[in-house]
Amino acid sequence: MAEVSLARAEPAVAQRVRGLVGAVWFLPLAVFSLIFLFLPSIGLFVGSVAGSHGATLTYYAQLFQAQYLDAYKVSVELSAATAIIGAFAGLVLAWAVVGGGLPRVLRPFTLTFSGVASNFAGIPLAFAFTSTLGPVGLVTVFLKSLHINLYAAGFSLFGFWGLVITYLYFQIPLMVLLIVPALDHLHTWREAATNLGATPFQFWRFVGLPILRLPLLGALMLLFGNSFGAYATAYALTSGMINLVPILIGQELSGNVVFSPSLADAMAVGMVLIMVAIFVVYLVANRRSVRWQS
Amino acid sequence: MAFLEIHQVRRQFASQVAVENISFTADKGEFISLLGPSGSGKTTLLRIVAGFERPDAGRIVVDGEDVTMMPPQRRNMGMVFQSYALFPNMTAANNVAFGLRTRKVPNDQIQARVRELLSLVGLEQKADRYPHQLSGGEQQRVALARALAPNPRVLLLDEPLSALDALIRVNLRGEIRRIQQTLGITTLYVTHDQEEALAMSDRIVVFNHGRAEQIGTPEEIYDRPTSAFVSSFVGAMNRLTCQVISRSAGTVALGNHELQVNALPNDVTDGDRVELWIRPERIRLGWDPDDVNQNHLQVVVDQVMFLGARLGIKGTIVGGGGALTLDVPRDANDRGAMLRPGASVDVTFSRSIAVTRASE
Amino acid sequence: MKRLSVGSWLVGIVALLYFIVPLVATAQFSFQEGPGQPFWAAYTSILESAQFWQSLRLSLGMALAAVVIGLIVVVPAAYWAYLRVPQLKPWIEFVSILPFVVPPIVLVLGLVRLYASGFGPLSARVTMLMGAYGVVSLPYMFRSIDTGLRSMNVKALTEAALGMGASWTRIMFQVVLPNIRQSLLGGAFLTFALIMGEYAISSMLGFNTFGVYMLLTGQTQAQGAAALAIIAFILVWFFVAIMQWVSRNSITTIGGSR
Repeated sequence: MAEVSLARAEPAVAQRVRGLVGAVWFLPLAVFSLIFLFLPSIGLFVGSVAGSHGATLTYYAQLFQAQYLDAYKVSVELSAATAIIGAFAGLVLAWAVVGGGLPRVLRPFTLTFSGVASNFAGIPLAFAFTSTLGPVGLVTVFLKSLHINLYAAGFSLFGFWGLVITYLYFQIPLMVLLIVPALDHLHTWREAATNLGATPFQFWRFVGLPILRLPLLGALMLLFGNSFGAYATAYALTSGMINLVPILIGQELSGNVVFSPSLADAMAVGMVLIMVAIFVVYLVANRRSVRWQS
Repeated sequence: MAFLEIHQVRRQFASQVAVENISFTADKGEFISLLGPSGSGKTTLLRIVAGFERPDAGRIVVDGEDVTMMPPQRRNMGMVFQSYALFPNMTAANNVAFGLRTRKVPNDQIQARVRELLSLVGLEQKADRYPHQLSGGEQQRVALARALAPNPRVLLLDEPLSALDALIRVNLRGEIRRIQQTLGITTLYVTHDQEEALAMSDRIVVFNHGRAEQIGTPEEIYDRPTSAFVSSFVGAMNRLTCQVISRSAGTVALGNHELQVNALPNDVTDGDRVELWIRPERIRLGWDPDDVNQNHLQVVVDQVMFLGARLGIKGTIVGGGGALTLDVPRDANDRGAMLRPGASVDVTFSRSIAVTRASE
Repeated sequence: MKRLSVGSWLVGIVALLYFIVPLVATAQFSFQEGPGQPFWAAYTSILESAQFWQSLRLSLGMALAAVVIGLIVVVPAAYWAYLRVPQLKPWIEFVSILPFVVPPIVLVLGLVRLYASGFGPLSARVTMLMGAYGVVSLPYMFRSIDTGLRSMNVKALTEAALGMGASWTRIMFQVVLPNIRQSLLGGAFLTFALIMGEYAISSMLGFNTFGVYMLLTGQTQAQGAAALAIIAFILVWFFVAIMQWVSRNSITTIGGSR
């Protein structure tokens, strides 16, 4: 009786009740991301602006001191370098494998290996490269026997370019995984262009790269983030002696307090802001090319 | 004189033969369909002609020039792809212009040619649209214009209509044929749709398992199929298994009926099993006992399907012989044939039907 | 065409060298025996150490927890979005990709700042670890669940089940989960590969996970470090191989030339 009259009297209420019941399905995701993602992020922001007498921007101002500014600079440069080189090398490698230049049987092998190598990061990767290009690494020693002394020439695995070479071991495979689906789609377009008399250069210039622009940009962004947040590889390789933002934050967290907690919070917020900025650039580019993308 | 010659072309993928020693020629301006089920090798042959695949053996000759080893970008063959393959980053006009730009045609000539072709396919109003702003049919028209723009020597179409709705398909196939005849361009057309092939082609090559089962005009293919595969792939076919009673008298037994046929194969002897091939529409309702040129059977109707202008009948031959499919004018019922399940009707068919040795 | 092929071979060979040489160097280094020891000594001492197995077990347990969290959190939301509120799909995707914007070191800093000083069960380090791992693997879990749901025709199957009088729990466990099993397993093994060697979060929270164990061991034994790198590589290969094997049917490969 009561149900019948309710349904007849207030369909709007019934609808709202149904909507609320539906919301239950989203509750786990909402609660989990609130507790473990949104609140901690907000907490960092609050911590970074909380001075002893109300809100303050002093900690952000401190970020512009030489040491911290340099850490950001190195972090961004490292991420940009590994993203750009990794994207280019990954694109070339992926095209060699899926574009028909190399035997077809290499394709599944390359994809599996890329899946492995893109996940082979952190501590073991640092060990592997120490065994390879460290002061007594296999390649270093081998080159020395050819009278090429890498370390005397100024190279160090524990410096910027050493990190770049190491990071590329997971960046290039990640790029391969990201771009292969897009390259697969390029197949018929390449045939169409070839059929219409295009040289490989003409194909890439007028068809391939314009079509790939968005996937490439997306991949670049992912690669940047992948390297920007990397901590373990750099830490293990340099024993924490390189001036990167994640390393500085790690120092504060693990109790080697050299600066105030609020400054670490500000540094962390700075990292998030850089990532957000890059994400926004991508979204804008995405929006702009909607013109010819359905 | 043959304009496009395909000589003994063979292509093998791993252990599977995709194209097995195919040979045929096309005259200038001829429209040839490559018809067959998927995986029968017709697309592979088209791609070999276009230059995307190399044949393991054989030659492709265009206008007296051997192009077998020529890279695809120099062959000057216009190809239309099943998935259209329009460049999404270019407008319709720029898509059509692409093949002219790669050939360094002067800009003013490009503009004129693009306008000409877009109006040929009826899309001059949509020159500045991007592919995603066009319907499927419009996209395929642009693809056709793009393929035709550089004045190709041969036009290649790879199932260009299979992604479209039925009505658009029928309209566009008429239009492709019209344009092809206007330009007089030699055309290879890959399709798995027998109706399409019959409607459009000058000649048809029927593919099966990488071989050309039969090559001929649509009429030849339909009326005189040379193999069981062709007979059942192109149009519907009743295949009735009989036993030869007397070769000299031209009589065969179907169930407990005795039938007369005019042309028994030369190599059969009395007692051999043969197949009668009868198109459903060649079977007539009714029986005139005085007409000696007709064979007569009685059929119990199992099912009547309304097909618009015609009726499709499935029935069982009284006295043994199996099932029979009929395709009769719709007004047959009005003339009192009483076509309904369970009814028994008289049917006749000519003595001059195809008879082949039964495949065992 | 010919020239392209030569270039491709060159690319292939350079890539092969870059990716194989470090593995060879590491393997070679790990086999340099100490005085009077067999060449595999570094491996036996690792495989015989209780810490190795303990840390590995801890890491895999935490990875399993992350997978379960992903399941509980993503499946209902994504499923309901597919079924009833498609306009919420982009938002779920957005939330699932957000962890990518927050680097792990920032995430753990935020968690420690907010909860370490007493917040009931949330202040337990193990809760923070599981939560952080759940967040880190969220994008991957979402991706695989999304792929699975997209390929299963959620609406038709659910309506068919509802029409036959099935309850929601029955639909969830007998219709939805079995149908996305493949892509779920794919996401799970990817998460295993991801979490197994994780270092930043667990070291900050003071756990002896496999990543932390590797660093501590490697700092004291050079051959051990190389051997651990090889072991880790094999483990990752194992998980990724299983991942690709289980999801081989759910990933539609776009075929090349016929």
